[in-house]
Amino acid sequence: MKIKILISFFIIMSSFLAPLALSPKVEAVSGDCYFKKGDPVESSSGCGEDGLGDYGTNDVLTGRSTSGKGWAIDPDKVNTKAKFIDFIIDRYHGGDHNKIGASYLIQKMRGEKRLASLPSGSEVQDWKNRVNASDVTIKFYQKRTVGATTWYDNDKKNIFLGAHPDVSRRVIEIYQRGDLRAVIEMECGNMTAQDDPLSSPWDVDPNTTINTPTVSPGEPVIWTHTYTNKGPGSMTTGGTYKINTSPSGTSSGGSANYGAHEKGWKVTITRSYVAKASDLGKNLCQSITIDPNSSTNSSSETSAQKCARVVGDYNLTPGVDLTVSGVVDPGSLTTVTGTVEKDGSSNTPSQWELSKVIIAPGKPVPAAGDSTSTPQAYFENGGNNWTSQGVGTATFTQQLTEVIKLNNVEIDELPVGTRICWALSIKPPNNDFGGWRHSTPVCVTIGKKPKLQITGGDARIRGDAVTSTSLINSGTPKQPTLFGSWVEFGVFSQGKNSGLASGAGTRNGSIQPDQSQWSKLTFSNVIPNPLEDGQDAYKYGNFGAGLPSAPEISEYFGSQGSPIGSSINLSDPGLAAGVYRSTGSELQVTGGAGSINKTLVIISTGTVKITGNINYASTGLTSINSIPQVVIIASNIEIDGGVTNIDSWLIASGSINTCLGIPTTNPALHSGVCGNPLTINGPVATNKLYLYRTAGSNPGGAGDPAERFNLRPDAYLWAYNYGLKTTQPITSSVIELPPRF
Amino acid sequence: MVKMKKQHILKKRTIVVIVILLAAILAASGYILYKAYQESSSKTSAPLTADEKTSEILNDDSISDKTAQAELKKLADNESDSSKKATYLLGLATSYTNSDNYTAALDFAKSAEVSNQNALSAAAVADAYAGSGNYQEAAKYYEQAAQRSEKSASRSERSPYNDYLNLKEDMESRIK
Repeated sequence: MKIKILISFFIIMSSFLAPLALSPKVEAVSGDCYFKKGDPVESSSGCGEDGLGDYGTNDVLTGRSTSGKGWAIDPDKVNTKAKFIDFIIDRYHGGDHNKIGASYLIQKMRGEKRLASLPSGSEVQDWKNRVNASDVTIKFYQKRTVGATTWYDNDKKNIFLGAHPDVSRRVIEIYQRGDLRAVIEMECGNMTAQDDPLSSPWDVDPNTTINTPTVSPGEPVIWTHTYTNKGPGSMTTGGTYKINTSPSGTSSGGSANYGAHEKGWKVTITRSYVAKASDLGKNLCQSITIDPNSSTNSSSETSAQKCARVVGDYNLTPGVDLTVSGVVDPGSLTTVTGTVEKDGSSNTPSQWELSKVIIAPGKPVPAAGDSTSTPQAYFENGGNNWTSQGVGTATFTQQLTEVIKLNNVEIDELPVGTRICWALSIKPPNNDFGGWRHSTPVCVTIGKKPKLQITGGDARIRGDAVTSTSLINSGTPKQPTLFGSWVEFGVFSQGKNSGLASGAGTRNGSIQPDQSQWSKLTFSNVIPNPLEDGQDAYKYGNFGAGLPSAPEISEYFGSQGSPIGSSINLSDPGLAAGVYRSTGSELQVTGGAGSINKTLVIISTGTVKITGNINYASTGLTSINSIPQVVIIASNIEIDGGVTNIDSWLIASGSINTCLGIPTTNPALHSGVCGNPLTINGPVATNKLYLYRTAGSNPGGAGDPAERFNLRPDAYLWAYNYGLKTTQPITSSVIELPPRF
Repeated sequence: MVKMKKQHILKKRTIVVIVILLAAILAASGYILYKAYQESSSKTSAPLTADEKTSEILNDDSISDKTAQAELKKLADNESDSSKKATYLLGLATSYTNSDNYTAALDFAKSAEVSNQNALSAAAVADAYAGSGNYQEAAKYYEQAAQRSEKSASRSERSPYNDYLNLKEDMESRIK
């Protein structure tokens, strides 16, 4: 037991003291071989040579002849660091002798001790990195006195270091940072006893991170700078770091020296800065520069700069305004205005883009929204046609900013029902979202605004006279021209007048947008009210007394007339001139397309439906007595959509509807129905007039009417003559006499 | 009970012996360490030899050739021992040869020859002549360097003798 303890103790002590024993700097000539035993090294002990060895045979690298002539390392070919590396690598891939010799040089320069292995691929790369280090310099073909050197033992296939008499040789001297590390004889490739290793390369990596890409005034920006020796070797020199700031003065920088450290050494430096209001819009940036960069690059290296943009807390809302809305005629003109409304404060520039989107009939209009999609991708979705109308970048400092205004934009000639929309997109809309914010598209629908024309007389309206107008780019040269409904003579209305021209003011369109310029015979009986929707409608009269109601023409005919059923055929040869009465709820008038050459007065207490044209004879008229005339008096009159001409008086106590079958409530009218123009030649009086024809208002004929009311002189002549024939007393003159008491 | 007591005493004595032995060994170890330290200290503080000084100067690439040459010149000038002086002069000759200043190299090599004739000094003179293109003189001095070296039995042996003879032959081949 005691003996065991003592033996153990001495073993421990001897191993403890072993490193203290002075080891020789070089191995003896007869010392152990350098490489471990293994292919192609045949032995790892007992290396040695008798005498000084033979030329070539015992040289570490081959190339010299056995008579001692020539070079193992040709000074004419190996005279730069790159060529030296290539040469050694070439020998490393050579036969056993050169492979072992080159391996020795490689491993020795890497600092591998005795019993090293032949170098692996990565070890060869490590050697290349070490030699390539910027602080390693190589001098070629230097004269030097050398003594102890290496041998190649061709029996053991190994290398050993041994004594040698001093001799003057040509050598390669390898220095690192000025210190001689290795000497290789060029004649033989032997490395002398000067065989200190080259340091492993090292690389100090600078890095900068930041806590946020954007910051608001009052919030901190924190930069974390690090520099790390990524190795694989320890640093052979210290360096300097410097923190770079931009713009200067917006955050603190600094610099300092540091020493050399081992692999993995890492330093972290933190800098912080609280953004100020005066920094709005600035990019606060920092980076770190370390110098030197690495053992292979003596220059400095700077980390990627990291910046925080100082932004305000804001929210932008894009929008579009048009000067027209709803249904518009092709060729109509509008102004498109893109605006951005801002909440909060912002100095951040944003991109904007105005889009025009054409949407086929029946397809949905894209909704507003925030999206990463570009305006084109967003609005083209669903097969819409998209074009950009303008792009730009702006910093929105105002609460409302007009970014774009397009004047006199002409509505395309597209199929009815097509929608043309404009939308404004903006990026970024706020601090939180970096994508696009797309406004609600503002659209107009291609359609028609059918027109009315009244010729030969006035329009007397006991309500409002409100008709639509179209501003069309028309004429030669093209210019904005207003088209609308018009009356040849006067327009009298109990209520306001908006859009219905008098004096044929818009007969060929008007380049004057102001209604007063094309309403010279307009009289409306309302008090101007500037708070209402526009003053144009109210500035044509206020003549005081109301308009009288239309005369009760049916009373003129008293109770006379032949009774008829639910229809009357105007072309019936048996139908004599005269008055006909219907007491049913409906009376259908047909057969008037022929030439009517008589007077027919049709009085109905119900609804008269006119299903065909009514045409007067235009020949065979020999006197005033032969003027034909049709007078239709009813509660309501409805005209079939196929009817294009009616030569008749139309007197309705209820309503006149120009498109039979279209209800007067929720008419659901569209361009596909009642597309024929209708002309009515004769006086028209009604309580309500439903103008449901959709003809006209086409490109090239913007002013063409859907309905035309024409009061011709034949009506006056017939009326005069008919009055003469009556046996009823009429007032021919009125004389006002003084009162008698 | 008595047996147990005896065993206890024996154990105690064993521990005491071990402790004494440990103390002795520690004392001896401390002494050895102290001597080793003294030896290494005396070794590191020993003055450098002329060879070591020359190597130290020539092996420091961080100093310029001119500075190195000035230092060696100063050492040579201040050295009275001819052998040491020759070492510094040889270092100077080597430095000037490596700087391609063969005139200066020749001067210092010849001075080394005067101070201490040996194979290296003759080789240094030969190197200077060879560098300046005087192959005839170079051959002559390489021959001298060979003759001052230990003669080899075999012409293929990697000896200084053979090396200098090879250089001589190389110079002679250039003359032709």
